[in-house]
Amino acid sequence: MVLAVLALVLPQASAQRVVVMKVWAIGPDNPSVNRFNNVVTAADRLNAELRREGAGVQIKVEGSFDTTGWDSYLRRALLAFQSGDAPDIIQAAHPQTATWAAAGFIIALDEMIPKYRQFNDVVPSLWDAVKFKGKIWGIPQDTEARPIYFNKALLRRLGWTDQQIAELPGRITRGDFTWDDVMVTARDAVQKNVVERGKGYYHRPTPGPDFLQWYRSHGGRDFDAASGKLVFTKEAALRYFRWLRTAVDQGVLERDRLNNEWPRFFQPVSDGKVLFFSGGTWNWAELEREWLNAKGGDEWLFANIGFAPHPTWRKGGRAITMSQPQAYMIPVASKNKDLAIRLIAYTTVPDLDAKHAVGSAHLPVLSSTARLVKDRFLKEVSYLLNFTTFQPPHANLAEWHGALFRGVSAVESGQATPEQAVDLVAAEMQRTIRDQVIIE
Amino acid sequence: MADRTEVQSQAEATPVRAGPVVRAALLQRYAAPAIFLLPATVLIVLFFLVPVFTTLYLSMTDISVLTFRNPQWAGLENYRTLLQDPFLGKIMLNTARYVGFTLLFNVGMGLVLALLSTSVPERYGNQMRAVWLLPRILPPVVYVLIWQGLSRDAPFGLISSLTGSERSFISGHPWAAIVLANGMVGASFGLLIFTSAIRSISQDLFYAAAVDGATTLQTIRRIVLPMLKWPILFVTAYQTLSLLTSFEYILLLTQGGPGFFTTTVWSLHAYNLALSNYFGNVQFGLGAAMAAVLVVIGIIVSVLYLRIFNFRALVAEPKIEVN
Amino acid sequence: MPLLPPRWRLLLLVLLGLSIPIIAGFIWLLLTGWFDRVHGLIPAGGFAPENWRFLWETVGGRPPVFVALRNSLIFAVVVATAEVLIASMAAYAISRLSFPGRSLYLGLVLVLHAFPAVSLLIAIFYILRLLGLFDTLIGVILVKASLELPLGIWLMKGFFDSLSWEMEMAALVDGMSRWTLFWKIAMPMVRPGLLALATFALLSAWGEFIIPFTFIVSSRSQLMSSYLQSFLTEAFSDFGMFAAVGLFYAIPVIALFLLGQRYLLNIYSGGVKG
Repeated sequence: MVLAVLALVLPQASAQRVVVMKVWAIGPDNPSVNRFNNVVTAADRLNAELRREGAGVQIKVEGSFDTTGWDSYLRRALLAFQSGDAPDIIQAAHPQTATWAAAGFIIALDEMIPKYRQFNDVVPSLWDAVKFKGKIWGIPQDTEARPIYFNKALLRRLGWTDQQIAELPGRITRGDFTWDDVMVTARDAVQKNVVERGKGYYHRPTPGPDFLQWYRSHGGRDFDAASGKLVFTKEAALRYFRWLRTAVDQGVLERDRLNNEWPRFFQPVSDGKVLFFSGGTWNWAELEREWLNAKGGDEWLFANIGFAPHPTWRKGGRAITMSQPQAYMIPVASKNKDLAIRLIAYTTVPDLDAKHAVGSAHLPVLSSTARLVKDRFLKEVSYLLNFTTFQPPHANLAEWHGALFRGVSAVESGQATPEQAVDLVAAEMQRTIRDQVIIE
Repeated sequence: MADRTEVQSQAEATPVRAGPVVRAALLQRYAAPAIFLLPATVLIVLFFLVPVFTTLYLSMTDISVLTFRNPQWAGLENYRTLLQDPFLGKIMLNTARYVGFTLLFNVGMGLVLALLSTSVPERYGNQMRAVWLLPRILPPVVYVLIWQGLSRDAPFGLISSLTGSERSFISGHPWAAIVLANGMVGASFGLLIFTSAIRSISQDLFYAAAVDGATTLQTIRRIVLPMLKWPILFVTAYQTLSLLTSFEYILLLTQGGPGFFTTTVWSLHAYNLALSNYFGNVQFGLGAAMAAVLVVIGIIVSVLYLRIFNFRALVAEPKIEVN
Repeated sequence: MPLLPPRWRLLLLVLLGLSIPIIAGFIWLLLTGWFDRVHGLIPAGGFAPENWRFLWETVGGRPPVFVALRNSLIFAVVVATAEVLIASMAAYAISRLSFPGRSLYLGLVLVLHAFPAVSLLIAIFYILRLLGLFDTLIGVILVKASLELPLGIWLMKGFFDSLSWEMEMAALVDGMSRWTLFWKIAMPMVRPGLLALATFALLSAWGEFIIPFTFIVSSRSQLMSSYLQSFLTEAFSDFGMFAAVGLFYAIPVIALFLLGQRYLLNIYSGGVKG
C-alpha cells in the first residue's frame, strides 16, 4: 500500500522541470530594487503553488536590476530584441510600450489579462498608459508623480509666515501661484542672498520625460487623439523657453544646469541650499536614504521640504503633474510567455506593491494597496494623482523628447534665443518624425 | 628533406617556366610568407580596411534604431543634415580648442620636462620621467576617477580647497580640466622622444660650449633646441592627428558637458549620435557621416606623415634574399 | 646633457613641483580607498575597511567584482598572447622574406600605425553585430588585438631587422624550414622585444575602456574598466568605495610600476636593444 502511494508520488517529484525566467529591471535609483526583488518573491510563491498543482515545473528567476542609467539599459534591451536573445520579462517606462510594440518586439497582453484576477485590482486609469493602437502591451508595475518641491526654511528666511507656506500648495493647485510667481519669489531670494545665484530653481540634469510636463504646464499640446499624431505648439514652447531664459538671466537658474551629474543636483538640495526644485516622488526616498541619513532622514525632509503639483502659466489655470508608470512587458522572443504572465500576476499583489511603493517612494498601482500603506509621505503626496497626465502613446515619442531637450539645452546655455530654439525644435521634429507630427 | 632543398635551388637557378614542378616551387616560395602573414592580414582586413569602407557606406544610409535590418540608401543626405546643423560650428570650435590647447601642453610640457630631467643627475631624471609615465600606463577609468576625486566640491576636493572655490573644478572649468587631464597623459610621449633626442647629441658639443663659456640657457638655445627640431615636428604632427580623433578622456570626464555641448568635440559627437542616446533614438548613419570625415582626414594625414618622416629608410630590403 | 648646470638642484625642485599633481593624485587614491572621508588629502573620517565591501558583496545590481576581474585577466592575457604571436609572425615575414607587395604591406602597416583607429568604432560595431560577435569576450579580444597590430608589427620588425643572419643562413642551408627556423632560432633571439611587446599589450589591454564599453553590454562579459566606470555614473557618490575599486583595479599596474620602473621607462622610450 505504502509502496503504491510512493510509486504515485515519486515519478511526479522527480519530473520537476526547472524553467529559467530571465527578468530585466531598472531603477536607475537604488531604492527601486524591488522592481526585481518582488519578481523573485513572486516566483517563490508561484513555485509553491506549482508544487501544489503538481505541475512538475519550477521557476528560477535570473536577471538583473540596473542602476547605471536608462541610456545603457535601453541600448541593451534593443540589442537583445534584435538578436533574439531577449529576457522573458522586461520592465521599462510605459512609453516604451508604444515604441517596442510598433517595432514588433513585445506581445499584446489583452488575451492573457482576464485569466488572472490580480489584474482586476489595478487602478483603471493606469491601463491607458500601456495602451497603444487599442491594445494593452504591459502590466503597470508602479506609478509616481512629479511635484515641484520647495524649501520651507528658505521661504521662512525670505519672510514668509508659516501660514503662507502651508497655503502654498493650495494656491498652486488653484492656479493662484503661477510660474511667474515662482520666478518672482526665486529672484527675490537670490537678490536678498537667501540663496546663491543659480540656486533659485533646480531641475533634472539629464534628459527625461519631465520636460514634456513643463512644456505642457505652459499650455503646450503634444498629442492629437483624432489623428494619432504628435503635436508641437510653438507658442507654448516659446513661453516655456522665455521663462527658462529669464530664469538664467536673473540668476535663478544655472546656465549649465543640464548635462552634468546627479550629485550636482542632490548635494545642494540636501544641503538645504535650493529654493525650488522639480523632481519625482521617488527623490524623497533617495534623499532620505542616501543623502540625508546623517541629518535625520525624513524628519529633516518633512521639516524643511514641501511639495505641490507644478504650477501653470496663467492665473486660474489648473496645476499639473506627470506620472510615468513603469510596466512589465513580455518580449516576442520569450519562450515562456504563459509562465511569464502568471509570474507577473503573482507580482501584482498588494503586499509587494506596498513594499516597493514605500521602499522607493513610488505610488502603488492597486486600489487595495492603500489600506496597507501607512507611509506618511505617500499618503500626503497621493493627491497629486488627481492632476496627473501621461505621455502620449506614439512610437516616435523618443524623437519628440530628443528635439525638445535640445531646445531646452540651447536656451539655458545661451546658445540660442527662445525664438531660435523654438524653430530649432520644430525643424528637428520635422526632420526626425516627418509626417507624424503636427507643428502648430 | 634534402630532395626538397635540391628542387628548391634548382627552381631558383632555372628561369621561370610553366609546369607542375615550377608551380610547386612557386607555391613553396610564397607558402612561407603567406602562412606568416595570414593571421595579421585577416585581422587587418577585417578590423581596419573593411571598417573604413563600412564607415563610408553607413554614412550614406539612413540607418537607425528602427531601420537597423533594412537601411535605405540616403546618398549625401546625412552630410547635408550635418552642414545644416546650427551647432556644427560650435563643435568644430570645440575640437579646434581641444586640439590646440592640449597640443600646446603636450609639446610644451614634454619639452620642459625633457630639458629639466636631463639637466639633473641621471637617477633623479629617470625617477621623474617614470612619474610622468604613470598617467599613461594607468587605466583611463582610474585616472579619471582620481581627477574627479581631486576636483570635487569643497571640502572634499583638493583643488577646491587650494583655490578657495566651492564648486567642482570639472564643472566650473571643464576646459581646463580636459586640457590638463589629457595633457598630462600626452606629455610623456614628447618627454620620452625629446629625452632620447637630447641624449643622442654628441657630448663634444657640450664640452665645446662649456669651454667657450656658454651659460645653460645659451647651450639650450644654440645646441639642444636646433637638434630637437625634427622630434618636435614629429611629436606635434603625430599628436595632432591623435587628438583630433580621441575622445575617451572627455567622455569619462565631462561626457561633453556640462551645459550644452560645452566640451563636445567632433569625435565625441559622432560617437554619441551613433551609439549613445537616452531616449533610444540613435542616429547611426549621421554618426557614421561624422566619423567618415575623421576617417578620410586620418588616411590623408597618415599617408602625408609617411612621406615626410623617412619612409624609405624603414623599407630597406630584407637581409636574407634566399627564399 | 653630460655637464650638469650649476644650479641643478633648483631645477630638480622645479621638476618635482611640476610632478606634484601626479603624486597628489596617487596619495588621494590611496587615502580615499582606506578612509571614510578625505578632505583634500587629509582623512576626516575613520579607517574604513567597508570601502572594500565590493569584494564580498554585490553592489547595486552588478555582478560580483570577480566576474569582471576574471574577464579582464582573460582579455589582457589573450590579447597580449595573440598580439605577440601574430605580430611577430608578420614582422618576421616583412623583415626576412622577400615577396611581392612587401613594400606595400609595410607601408600599409605604417599608415595604420599613425591612423586613428578610434574613428572606426562605429563601423566595427556594425561589423561585430553582423558577425554575431557583439557582446562577446572573443569579439572585443579580436578587435583590441587587431587595432594594436600595426604597433606590434613595427616594433617586432625592428628587432628582427637587427638580428645577424648568419645563424639563420646556416640553418636554411642545413635544410631547416622557415617555420621551424622562426620558432627555434629567430624568436628566442628577439626575446627582449617579445617581452617589451607583451608588456605594452598587457598594460594597454588591462586599462582598455572604450572598446569593451562600446561592444559589451551584458554584465557577465563585463571588464574591470566598465565595472569601475559604472560607479562613476551613479547618482549617489560613495567615493570611498569608488577609490577602493580603483585601487583594486590598478594594483597590477602599480605593482609593475614599482618593481619594473626602469624597464618600463626603457621600453616606452623604445630604447631597448637586446
